[in-house]
Amino acid sequence: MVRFENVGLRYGMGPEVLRDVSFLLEDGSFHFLTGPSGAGKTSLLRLLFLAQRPTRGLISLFGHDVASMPRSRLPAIRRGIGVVFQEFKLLDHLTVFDNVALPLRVRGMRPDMFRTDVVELLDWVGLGERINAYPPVLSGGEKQRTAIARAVVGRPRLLLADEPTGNVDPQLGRRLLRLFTELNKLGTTILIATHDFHLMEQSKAPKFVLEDGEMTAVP
Amino acid sequence: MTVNSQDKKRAGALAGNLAMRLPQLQWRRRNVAIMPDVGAAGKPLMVVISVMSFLACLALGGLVIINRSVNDWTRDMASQVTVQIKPEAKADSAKKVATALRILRATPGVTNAVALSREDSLKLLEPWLGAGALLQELPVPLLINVTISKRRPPDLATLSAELTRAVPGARLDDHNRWQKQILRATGAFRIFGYGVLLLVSAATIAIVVFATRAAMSSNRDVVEVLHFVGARDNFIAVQVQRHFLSVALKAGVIGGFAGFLTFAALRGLLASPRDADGGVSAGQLLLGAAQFGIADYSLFLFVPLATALISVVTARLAVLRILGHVL
Repeated sequence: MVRFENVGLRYGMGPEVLRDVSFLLEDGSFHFLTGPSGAGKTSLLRLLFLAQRPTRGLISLFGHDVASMPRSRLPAIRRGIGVVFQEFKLLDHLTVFDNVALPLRVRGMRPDMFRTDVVELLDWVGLGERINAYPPVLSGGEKQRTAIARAVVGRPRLLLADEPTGNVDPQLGRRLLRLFTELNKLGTTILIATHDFHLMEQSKAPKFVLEDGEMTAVP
Repeated sequence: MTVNSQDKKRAGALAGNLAMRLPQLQWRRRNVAIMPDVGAAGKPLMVVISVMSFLACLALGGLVIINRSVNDWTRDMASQVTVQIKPEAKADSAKKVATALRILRATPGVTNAVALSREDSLKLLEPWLGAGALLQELPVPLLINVTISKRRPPDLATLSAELTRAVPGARLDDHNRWQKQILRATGAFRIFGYGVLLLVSAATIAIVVFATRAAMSSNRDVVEVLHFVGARDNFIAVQVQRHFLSVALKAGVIGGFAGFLTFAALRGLLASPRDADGGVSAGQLLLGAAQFGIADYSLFLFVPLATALISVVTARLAVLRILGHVL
């Protein structure tokens, strides 16, 4: 599903932040991505959700070489990827319902086509009573679950999460992990970038460790 | 309780829950705007586009009046020529006028020839010289007003030569010099009018480009999220266009209505009654015989449409250009 081969990335004329990164994410797998701050986790995620092109190497997503793909074809690939950002990136002028429905709207679906699905999903993540609330009045956990609901509403094949438990208490962290595990059981490939060792210990999923721009796999 | 019945109970509860809350969402028949109204793309933009639309109305109305006046003037001038005969002794003058009239009426293409009396000629000079004794002493030329066929006009050069030969002191004035001067002057006004329209359009485009950039800059996070959830450039452009369409239509209507009021007020102010002597009104002196008619106001309906079209196309191109620089 996801294949990196000797991928390198540098910003401008600076040093390489990722060096010869190679790994494979099988369909339906669950992995953690960890490493110290500044190791290149966010850069790797940016490559994965197509916010950045590599300086060198091959990146294959869903069987497509995205490293050299024309930008007009990238949205179709992005629709197969759900992203949960550490800082949530919710749109403050839209309600929880509208934030979660956004991926469906960009696909041209009308409200009557997705209304029930979105409400059901919000119930599933425990936000059934907050559908008309705006992000500024949500708690950190509610924002996190809204971001997760938005990431999964389009039934992505690949779910990427950047420090999803960074802003929530341990209890909510465990709950979110259960949520990711459920999604994985439904067939979604999951990669979670985290520093949270407790989270990784609970899951026992294999890890990729990034250090100084180089990656090693820990089964 | 079996697993199956538990599932059914949960499904029933969920359905009940949904049924209770769906009415809150039923009003969402239409999608809410993804791009918030902010910064320069909001009210300030509406004010500026309103002013531009108003200026466009003024230029458009001016062009209509100029074009109509030119048509009226040139039509009248093309069908009228004048024969002037130097004044001499009364008996000679009458003889010369009679000869000239005979030649004129016998010329194919001349539909009418009427000699003006000395009194009528003096009246033409009164607005400039007054009605005093001085006017009576002036050697005013004898005038013959000649109407010619527009379809088959006479050969004016031959007619002029014949008149000069038969009637010493006679001169045929075909108003060609005036016609050329008027056409030159009105041509300049026309160019000026079109130039103003062009400038207003260019200024509107520049303003919309600036506002689009400002809107895209202040909504960078929105655009970024839209990209991440798989929005194509066209979808993002449509969101921005929708906002600019709404602003430009409202601004165009405001500017168009202001233009309508201005021309209606001008029409009222300038359409003063003729003066006591039957002379032209101030409005006619300024604008000629042409007036801004009721049907001409319908032109102002195109102003909001043109404003909206210019704004939407400009915003779309600006957005696509900006998006082309991001991955």
